[in-house]
Amino acid sequence: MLPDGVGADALAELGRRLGTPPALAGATVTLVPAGALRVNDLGALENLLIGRHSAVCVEVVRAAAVDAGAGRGTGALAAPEARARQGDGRAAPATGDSLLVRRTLRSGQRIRFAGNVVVLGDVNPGAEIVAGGDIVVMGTLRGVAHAGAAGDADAIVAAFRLQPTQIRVGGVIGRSPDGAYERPEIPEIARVREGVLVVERLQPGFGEIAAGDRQA
Amino acid sequence: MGEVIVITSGKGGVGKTTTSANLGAALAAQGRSVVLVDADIGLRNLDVVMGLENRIVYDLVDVVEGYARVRQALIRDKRFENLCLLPAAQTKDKTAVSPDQMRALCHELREEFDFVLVDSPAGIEQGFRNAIAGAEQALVVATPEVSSVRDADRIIGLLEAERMPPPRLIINRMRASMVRRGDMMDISDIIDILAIELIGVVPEDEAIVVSTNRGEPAALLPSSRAGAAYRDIARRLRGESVPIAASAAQEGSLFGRLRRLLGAR
Repeated sequence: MLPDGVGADALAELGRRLGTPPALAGATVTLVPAGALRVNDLGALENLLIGRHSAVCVEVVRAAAVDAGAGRGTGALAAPEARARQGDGRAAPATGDSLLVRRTLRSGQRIRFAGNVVVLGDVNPGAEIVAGGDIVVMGTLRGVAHAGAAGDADAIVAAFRLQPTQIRVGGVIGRSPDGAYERPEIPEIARVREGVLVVERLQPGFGEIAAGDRQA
Repeated sequence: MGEVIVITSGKGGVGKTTTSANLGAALAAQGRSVVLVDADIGLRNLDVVMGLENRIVYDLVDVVEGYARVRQALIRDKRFENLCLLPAAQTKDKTAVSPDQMRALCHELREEFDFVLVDSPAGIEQGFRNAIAGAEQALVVATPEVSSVRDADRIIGLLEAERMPPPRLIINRMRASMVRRGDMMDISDIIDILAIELIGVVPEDEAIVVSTNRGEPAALLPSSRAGAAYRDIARRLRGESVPIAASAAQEGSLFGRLRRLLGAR
């Protein structure tokens, strides 16, 4: 459990307690923030755990969710707070937090996060992202992406090149066709429409269109 | 002070041991002093491929346990004065050695040799951890198959987590004719996913099977295409700039790409 926000002192203390690097080679570390975890805090923690101590993966789950689900599967992810409508009718993200992953996720690496996940890099086959909110991949998505993992069917998965092994949004599962298929060289977005996973070209302003659909 | 390079892949049977033996022989033929370390404890192979099986007295486990000195366990190659093998134990398993012991061993060997090539076992468990412990560079071997590329990707992720410099890739058993027909992953497909530097492409070659069984590395046969590819990789390891042969690096004809795009099989 981490205290609300992570100060420099707390980070230094954590570093001391871990001992000589790499103390966590190959490990998956689960962070359980007691309160809000700011993006900067998370970056500092990632630097410490992955950068210095060689952990393979840092998962972030909500304290409340761990109390309820004790870390089993996607059940550990908290139900997102209801999507707040902003003044202009756009849907706000499922939670306030987003996790920025500034590297390629390779086979066997997994990210779980209660908010949105943005990857600056590729997601390779055998890698997996489970997010409570949306997933955006600024690269090629070839692995498994599960957006809205706590049941939010309004979540989306978007990628510069969408070639996933499997996409799940809320409780809906879609997979790529068997055998050879055409792979459009354009950014695409996957979302649930009328209970079915639909993949479309990613266009500017998709958020407003989506919000309109939801209200209709 | 020499370089310690681990040869690894994740998946079994893609040619780690063959690659180790051939790079060792090629580097020795090019005048460098080389020691090959077989880190596949319990499944000893490198000695057979090198044709040195009948000369083993002590092995790697004897050395780390202090029963033998490194000098006693090293086997000199029958063709090259400057090529040695440190064989694995066949009767123990991976738990007989710790990463710290491997690190100390590699440090000792690099004092005396230009190149220390560590042949890693398949898998990502203790044997792999041991093999990479003393290495400062890695070569990842992959064949043009989806499963092999997937495992190579996993290995690259694990090497990155160890804070090693990005590994370099050897694509083994490439069949240009199949790539041309669009029936095999081509080099650009593989590089696209793995996103690491390519250090060589070794074509499928029957001479490898023959030479492996005879204990004569194909890198020493002037006529072998795979042997030529290994000689080129050895020169690149020494820092020479050698272009990757156009025929080996065949990126698939336009026709092949078109067929795949259209889903024709």
